[in-house]
Amino acid sequence: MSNPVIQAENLGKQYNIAALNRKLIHDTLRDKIMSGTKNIGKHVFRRSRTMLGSEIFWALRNISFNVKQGDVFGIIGKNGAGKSTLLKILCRVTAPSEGRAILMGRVGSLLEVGTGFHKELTRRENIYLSGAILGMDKAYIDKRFDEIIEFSGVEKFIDTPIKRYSSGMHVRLGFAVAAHLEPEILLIDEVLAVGDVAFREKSLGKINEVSKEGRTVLLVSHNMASIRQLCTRAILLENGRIAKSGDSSEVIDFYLGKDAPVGAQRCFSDGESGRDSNFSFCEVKICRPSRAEPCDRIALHEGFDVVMDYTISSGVRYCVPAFHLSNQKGIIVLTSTIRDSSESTYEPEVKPGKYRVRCHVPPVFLRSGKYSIGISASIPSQKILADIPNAVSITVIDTGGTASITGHGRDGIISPPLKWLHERDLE
Amino acid sequence: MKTDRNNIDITTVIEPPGKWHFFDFSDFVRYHELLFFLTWRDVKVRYKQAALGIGWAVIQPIMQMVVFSFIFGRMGNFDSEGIPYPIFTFLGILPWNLFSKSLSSASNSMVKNAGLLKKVYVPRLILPIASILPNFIDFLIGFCILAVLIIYYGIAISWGMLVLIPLTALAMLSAVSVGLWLAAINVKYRDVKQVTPFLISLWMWITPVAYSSTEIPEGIWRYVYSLNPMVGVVNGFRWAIVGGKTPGETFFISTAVMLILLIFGLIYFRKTEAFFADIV
Repeated sequence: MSNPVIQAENLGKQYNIAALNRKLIHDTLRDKIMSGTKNIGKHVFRRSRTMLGSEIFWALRNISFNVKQGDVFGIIGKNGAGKSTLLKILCRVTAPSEGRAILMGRVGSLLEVGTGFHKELTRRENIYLSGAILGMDKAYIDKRFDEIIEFSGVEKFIDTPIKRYSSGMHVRLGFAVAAHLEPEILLIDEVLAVGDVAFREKSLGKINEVSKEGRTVLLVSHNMASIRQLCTRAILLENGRIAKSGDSSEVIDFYLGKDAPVGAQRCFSDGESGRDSNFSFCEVKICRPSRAEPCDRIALHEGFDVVMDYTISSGVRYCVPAFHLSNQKGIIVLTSTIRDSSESTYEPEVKPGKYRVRCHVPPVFLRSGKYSIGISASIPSQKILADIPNAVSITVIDTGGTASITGHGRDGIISPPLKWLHERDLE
Repeated sequence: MKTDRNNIDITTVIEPPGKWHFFDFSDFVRYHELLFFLTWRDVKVRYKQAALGIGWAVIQPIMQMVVFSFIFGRMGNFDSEGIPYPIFTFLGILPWNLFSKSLSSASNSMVKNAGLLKKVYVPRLILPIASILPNFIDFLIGFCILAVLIIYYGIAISWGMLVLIPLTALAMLSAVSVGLWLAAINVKYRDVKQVTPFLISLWMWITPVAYSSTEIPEGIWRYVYSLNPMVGVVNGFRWAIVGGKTPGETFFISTAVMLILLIFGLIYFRKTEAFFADIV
């Protein structure tokens, strides 16, 4: 019983970034032919770039793990860490570039809810279609049809095309079909994030039930609460590598610990910050407006400045610094780049040297609470020079007074006071 | 423990492509119901929200027959091997439409099902094949029109007409063989979307739909002409219904070309399919 049903050995997936970029820009044979004709000179150049390894990007590398029968196995990590790629490899949507994986038993995957639904078909027809795509046979769907309808909670209008209904209903129906899939191994991606609270509870319950029946579930999610609740074991992916594996709560604590609050100021040593050797951040800090000393507690009615210092050497000619601000739940509240500047005089073309940029975040804009600020710099639409998530953090404090009126008792992630017009006697 | 012992035996090994064998047809068998459902979906959706519905499958070939009969039969006075021109051209239109519609839907099948391709594993080969099958329904409807024509022109019904079954299969396999190439290339280069209609309309003129293949001079040119698999199919159709000269060696050339295209099409498709989801 305790034999591993999923064995992954050294799985890796590489993408050729240059090829992907080329594809984004040129999508036609014409471009291929055009670039082919003027390729002679470029060839040498391109080969040298390949040797530097900058064109090959490993989305996943050295991924090895075992999952035992009946386990609910979690995969966590930030966006772009490779979670979805791993899942896609395991359910054979895409092929790995190296390594191998062995899965024992029928595999059902749920990378998206309602895959294969056709809007012109009725709900009944879509249940059969979606079921077939997920690998169920007709006799089985016949038997479970009423159960599926009941689980979806939408009993009416079974024979009307689904294009006449809300997308929320598609999602419910999609999950209902998938939940009745009974493979030995179920691969699930993020689908718990859909539907209303009651439906989500129902879905979580279903996953729990599935594992109790001895089936194995692999779950990718951003929702730490559900991973903690459901999973026995987990792995944490970071930049395509396994950063930690073990008991799920252990892995989650490790992951969340990485995002522990940092101060209002951070200095970077050489080479620590940049992805590109020609660019590096030296320092980032949060200050009270127009002040120079860092401050991690900001009054709501005061606002604050984000100050970034960086150096550019001769290899970079364009540069746009930016920052993004996330709240405690990890939701990005806003992103701002130097191009927002209302004078819009900023020319991204730059000379080598050391720079300081300063951005003012207005008062009474954020709600009180903790925020983390990530900084980045890029060559517009070409290349990311540096990207430091969670570089500094601040606490916005409601000190009372007039400003606090706008904060409490209002829903929303931000609470800027807006202008209202009030008129009377309209004809 | 509900686990079925039989199912535990199913073991999936995931490895980089290249080490795999030629097509895993067992997988294909396991998904035969999906093939049915996808075909059924396309059939259902095809004439949805069209006032005339399935009537289009009747109108189109009849209109083609009328136009060809008028232009080539009446005005152009083309030789129709001694057969009434309407039935002569209809015997070309019927397999031709099956082929051309199948080819065009097969070449779009991957891109049309991109959502599926990116989100769930299905044997990729199912998609072009499932997209071809609905055209067979149109073909059967066209066949009813043919039956009416046979009765109208008082053509004797014979066992020889059963040869239409392998000929129809040949037309569909020809569409599969070229369609596999186009579908795989279309994933990467959307030029195929532009090329396909153009290719099909040109192809019709090198197929004896509106004229007789006897118009092509005997000798080397006749052989070159027969490299087109549809030449064998259309000649075969005429031969099966109204008799006349046996298609003979041109038929074998057509079949051989089709088989070569099919085998290499399968290999090419196999080689590229592992990365469809990454680039589609």
